[in-house]
Amino acid sequence: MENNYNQDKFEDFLKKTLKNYEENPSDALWDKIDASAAWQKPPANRSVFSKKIIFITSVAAVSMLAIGLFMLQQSKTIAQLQTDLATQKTNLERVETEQKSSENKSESIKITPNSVDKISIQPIEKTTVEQLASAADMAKKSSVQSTMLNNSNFNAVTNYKNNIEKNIRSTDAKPTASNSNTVVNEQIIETKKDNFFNNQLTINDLAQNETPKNLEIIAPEKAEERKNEIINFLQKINNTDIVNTDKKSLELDIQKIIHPVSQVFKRQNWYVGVQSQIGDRYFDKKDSGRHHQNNQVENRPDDMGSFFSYGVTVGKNLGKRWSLESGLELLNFQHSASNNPKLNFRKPHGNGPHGGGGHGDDDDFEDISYNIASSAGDAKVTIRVNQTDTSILLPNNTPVDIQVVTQESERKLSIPLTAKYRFAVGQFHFFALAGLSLDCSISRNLNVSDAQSKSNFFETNHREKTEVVFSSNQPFAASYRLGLGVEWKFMKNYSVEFTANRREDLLRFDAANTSRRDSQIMSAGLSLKYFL
Amino acid sequence: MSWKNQSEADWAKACANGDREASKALYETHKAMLFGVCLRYSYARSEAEDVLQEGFIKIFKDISQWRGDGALGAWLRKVVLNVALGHLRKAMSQSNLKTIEFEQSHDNLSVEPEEFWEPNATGVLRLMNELPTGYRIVLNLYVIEEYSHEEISKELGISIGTSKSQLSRAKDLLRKKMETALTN
Repeated sequence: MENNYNQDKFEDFLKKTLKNYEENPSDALWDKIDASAAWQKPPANRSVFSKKIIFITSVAAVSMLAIGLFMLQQSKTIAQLQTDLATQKTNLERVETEQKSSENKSESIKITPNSVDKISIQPIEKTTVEQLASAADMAKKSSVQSTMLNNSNFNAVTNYKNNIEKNIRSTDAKPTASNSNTVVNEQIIETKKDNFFNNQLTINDLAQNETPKNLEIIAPEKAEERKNEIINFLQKINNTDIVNTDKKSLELDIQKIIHPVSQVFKRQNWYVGVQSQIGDRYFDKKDSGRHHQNNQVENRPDDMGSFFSYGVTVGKNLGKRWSLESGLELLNFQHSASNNPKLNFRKPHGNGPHGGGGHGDDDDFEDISYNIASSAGDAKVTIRVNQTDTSILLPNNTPVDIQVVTQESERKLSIPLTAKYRFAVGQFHFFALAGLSLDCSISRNLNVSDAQSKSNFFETNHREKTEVVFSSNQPFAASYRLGLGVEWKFMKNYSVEFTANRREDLLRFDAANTSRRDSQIMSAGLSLKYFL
Repeated sequence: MSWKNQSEADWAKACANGDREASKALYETHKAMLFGVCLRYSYARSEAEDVLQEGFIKIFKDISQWRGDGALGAWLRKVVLNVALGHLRKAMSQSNLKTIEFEQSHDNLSVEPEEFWEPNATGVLRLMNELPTGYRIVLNLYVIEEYSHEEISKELGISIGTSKSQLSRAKDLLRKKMETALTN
């Protein structure tokens, strides 16, 4: 029989017999797999992604709602301002018209038929005593408020009234159309009348010059109408004066209405800006460093990663000293660590059938702690990456040189709310800031490689552990921020800030089985602001 | 829907997306072949089923990593094989076994007579399970999985010379067992 099996044929026999050997497992096996299979629970990444979408959507919805409400309020304000604008424009046109009218006159007002024309009152050829008396009364009342109708005018009208009354008493006759008690030269009267209606005489002239001795009343039934016309005219003068006094402020109001939105923001001291920061991320010392033989942990001052952020800001000045600022910020973290190029435990401590434990001792070892326990020559290597232990079992005398390299990158979206206090108010001033922010993890990536040996032991064992690190289904955190800065305002609406910040997580909403190290961020950067 | 008529890429994609029917079809199609692999690296049937269960869970978890550059069955076999080896290492660690007996000579092992042995797969497997762990693993990897000695040395962390010697001794011992069984 032995002769029938040489080496190759024996191998061929085994291969042929066993290569495609198939045997069915028990029927219950599928039920076990089904009970614990991945499709019964959503993948961690998908869960994180879904929560991110929900979070971002919620933030967007809240932002849109806030903006919508704000715009709705502003639209009402704008509508009101537009109504005011129309009114004010009308007033301004009236003021300008009246101003031109007054500029064309002498210092004293000439109440002439032409003046009456300007307010669309057609002059009649004759006036009555009652009309003039009413005009005088109204002038007296108006003079209190009117600067245009001065005392001399008032006196002139009063005198004119008195003269007319005196004249009427002397004639002692009720004027009628047919009763033409002509006492004076009609030619003179006609001349005066012509001059009056030709805008050559003023009230003063009428009052101070010779009073007509005979005043022909040809339309007494129109007395009330004429009275109202004069009252309107005097009121017009009065109103004009009031509007004219406020002309300057009226023009300002109109300018505000022309750019209502920007003026609303301007009145409320809003500003927008862009900012960027760069810095270092320091990991908590109590979790950093290596585990020594007595389990002491060494603080490592060089355990840090880089930090870079950029974003947009929107803020509002609350008085001279305070301002409130928010926005969106994208945070980027990078962190890498490596042990020495060769962590050689070809011969672990205590090598042999009854060997003891051993520990790695590598001064350049960052971020990754390791422990080698040896039992009967086998080496069980525990590597800790970001507080996640990974065990590698290596048989006795396994010739493996391990170089563990980790590269960690993380991106977060941050929504800050920051208060600033200016120590002085001026073109150049210092300020302090404090704030809170809600940070949402967008992506995390941890690459751990065994660069030296490419050992399947490590890669196979660590892959699952890596997933544990990122199994967080609530990747949110609340952090605080403190800082000092200096601001320089230039041009009219711009300012540039230099700020130094310290940030640290206050609350992390990671899953309980996710162990992440505490860290602080020291950063500095610039921001450019534009005041609306 | 018959997944066997679909492309392997679509099938794998459906499994990656959590399609339970596609996953079950994948299981039903490949379970026998993969269970055969598990049996070669396990001492008992129950242990092989544990390995297969863990292997399928890992398959469904990582099937999105299959790039489609080879047969899906080969990839499944590779995953299950890695799980089986990991299971073996874990078992050794928990039972505090000293090590895989790579350096140990088993030349003095007795060859017990077998009753009712037939030179088929079941019979060969039964005899292989009587081999020392190191012998059995190297023999399986080299002969069945067609690993080279270099690959075996990397996979198991042993030297190429050790792999060669383990293979040679494994074949000699298995052959003696088979001869004894056939004689009886």
